Amino acid sequence: MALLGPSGGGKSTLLRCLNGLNTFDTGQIRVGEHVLRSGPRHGAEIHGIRRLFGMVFQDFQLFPHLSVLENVIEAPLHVQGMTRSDAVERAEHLLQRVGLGSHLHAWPQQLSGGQKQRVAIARALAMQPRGLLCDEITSALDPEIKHEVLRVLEDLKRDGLTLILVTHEMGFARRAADRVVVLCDGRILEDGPPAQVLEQPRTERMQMFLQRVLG
Amino acid sequence: MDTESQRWRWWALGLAAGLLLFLPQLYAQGPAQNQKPIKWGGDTDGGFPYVFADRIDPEKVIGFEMDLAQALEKEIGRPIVFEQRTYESLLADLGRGDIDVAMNGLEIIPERLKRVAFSRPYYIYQLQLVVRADESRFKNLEEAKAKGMTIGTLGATAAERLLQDQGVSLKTYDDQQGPYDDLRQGALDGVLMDLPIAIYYAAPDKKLQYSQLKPGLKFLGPAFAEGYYGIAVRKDDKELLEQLNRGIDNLLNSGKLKDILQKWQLWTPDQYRLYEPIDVVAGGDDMRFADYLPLLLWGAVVTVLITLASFALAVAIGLFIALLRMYGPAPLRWFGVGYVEFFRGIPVLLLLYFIYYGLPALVPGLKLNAYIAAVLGFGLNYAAYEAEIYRAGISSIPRGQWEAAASLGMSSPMTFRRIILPQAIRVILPPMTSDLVALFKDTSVVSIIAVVELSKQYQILTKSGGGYLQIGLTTAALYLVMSVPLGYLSRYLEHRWGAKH
Repeated sequence: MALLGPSGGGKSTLLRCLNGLNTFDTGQIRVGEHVLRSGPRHGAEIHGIRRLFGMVFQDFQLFPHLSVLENVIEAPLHVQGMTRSDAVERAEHLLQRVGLGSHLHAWPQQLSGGQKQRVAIARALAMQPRGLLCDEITSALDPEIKHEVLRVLEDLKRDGLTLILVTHEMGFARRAADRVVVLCDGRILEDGPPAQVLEQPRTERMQMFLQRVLG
Repeated sequence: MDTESQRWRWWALGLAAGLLLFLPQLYAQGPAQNQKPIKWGGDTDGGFPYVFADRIDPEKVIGFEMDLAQALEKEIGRPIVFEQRTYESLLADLGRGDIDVAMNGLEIIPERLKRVAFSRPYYIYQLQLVVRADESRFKNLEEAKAKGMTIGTLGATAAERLLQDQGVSLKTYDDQQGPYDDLRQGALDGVLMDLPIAIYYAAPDKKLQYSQLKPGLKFLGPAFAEGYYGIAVRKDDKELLEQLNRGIDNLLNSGKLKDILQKWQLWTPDQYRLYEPIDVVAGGDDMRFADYLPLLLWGAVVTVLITLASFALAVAIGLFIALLRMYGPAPLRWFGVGYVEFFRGIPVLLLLYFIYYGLPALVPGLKLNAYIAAVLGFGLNYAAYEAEIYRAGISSIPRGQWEAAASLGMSSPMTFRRIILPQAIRVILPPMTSDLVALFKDTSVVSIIAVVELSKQYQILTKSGGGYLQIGLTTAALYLVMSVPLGYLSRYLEHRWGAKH
């Protein structure tokens, strides 16, 4: 599912509310059997949702004091209580999958942006979530390395992982998304399969938005 | 008209003649005002009964030495002006020329005679051991020594020397009151000081106008180890020395000195021997390097131990305060802010005084070892600074790191411990190391609560025997040997980790 829309439309906020990073004033959020209500946070429910969904950020937020491998095994070791050898085995597998099998012992600051983002994805996957929340994860990357990350995402989707991504990559959304939701001023403007939303938008605002984005 | 003017002329003539006759007498009455005054150095700080500030008029300095000075003024015909000085530095001030004479219960001892000249004595003192009224463990100094008792005394006095020579465990003070207070509170087992002091602080049977009586104390045995108080002058100031000697002679012969001492209840039959010549000659060995080096080294060890213990305490309390201030609920947050402002805002000297002297007075039964008080004082003080360093370091870690850890299911305490603190340490460590260097040097302040560390040891060594330069250089070298590498470590850490982010 791709979340599109103009800046300030509420895409990132929605994503952050989904993961309990932001609180909200009204309504409720249902993820599987977990329900988040408005107002102060509910620890147990949030924890349940975070087990279902990993999150990847625009600015990576790798842990700079840990190596690539340590970044990935940190949570499995200390949150899930895995043994070190199991965690390392899983981490090596995941890092290979995102194409960083040879960078296990590198430090985050030695990596390019695309590499960092792929480590962040592996780190989120190490908790074996059902899906990933991706908050503009290619926006900080140079155009020629965005595809490194996008290719990983398509690969994950093929494996059946649920991806909810905030993105400005129209082409990618059209190609890869099953469902596109357009948010504008905090409300849903369009919701449907990409072919419908992106090619036959029902609202005038959506048409204007597309014109602006696609030039 | 004529007769009128003649009358005026006679008038004027008479006046002139009268003035001529009178002038020498005016002059004879007032040489004290016309001659260069003698600058007399002494210490009024708790100086009963020598010189001290009058309770009724604190501007006024009184005491038996003040009476003596005023009597000498008349004999010598030169004004004597009192100047407030620190007791320990009297002879150094004299040598520098800041004062012309030093008179403040200074004992005439061989070591001092090497540095300065002394007038003939104006008092024969003895030492008096004072203990708590219920003391029954020892009956004299020898027994006190055998039982490992700790005796307090004034620094740079004959009593200190005597205790050192006899190998009694001792603690030196800068003021007269401190040892008696500590004795009452149980921090000392006895106090050995000059009889005049003991009379004013611990003799309940004497009816004294200016008594400083501390209840619950008693004299143990008779006074002993007599010696002389004299007025110290520079060795090359022979004329002044002669004037002083003549003056004291006259006061002895006229009985005025006896009157003064009797007025202050200091007269004893022993004082008759003031009329006889004395036989103290210059002597004593200079401190040798091999003698004072072990003492300085031990002082350095104490300095290091106090520094490390205080800093460990500061680093622990500081983290706690920083956490309260950043993540605590409102009242605890205010407490954190209050703590930092309070302990950064008061001088550590005051804090040490309060902990060491004030706290045992407030909490009955509390006995604080001076070393523990020092560690506590510096620990609490530096914790305020360390808390702010922690806060700056922790705040410098972006919020995104918390969120990334949270999205992985890590709890806040776990995130703090495993993700935030390890990164913050790199920001925290360089300024903390330079604080350690600062603390290392700041510990020299603890000498005020009778902790003998490196600086205090230097003070003690030079007070008695001089040697400011050699001992001073050795002390400085010891400080440098320890602080310079620490400074390099601090800069290295800054360079290594400061640049990384």
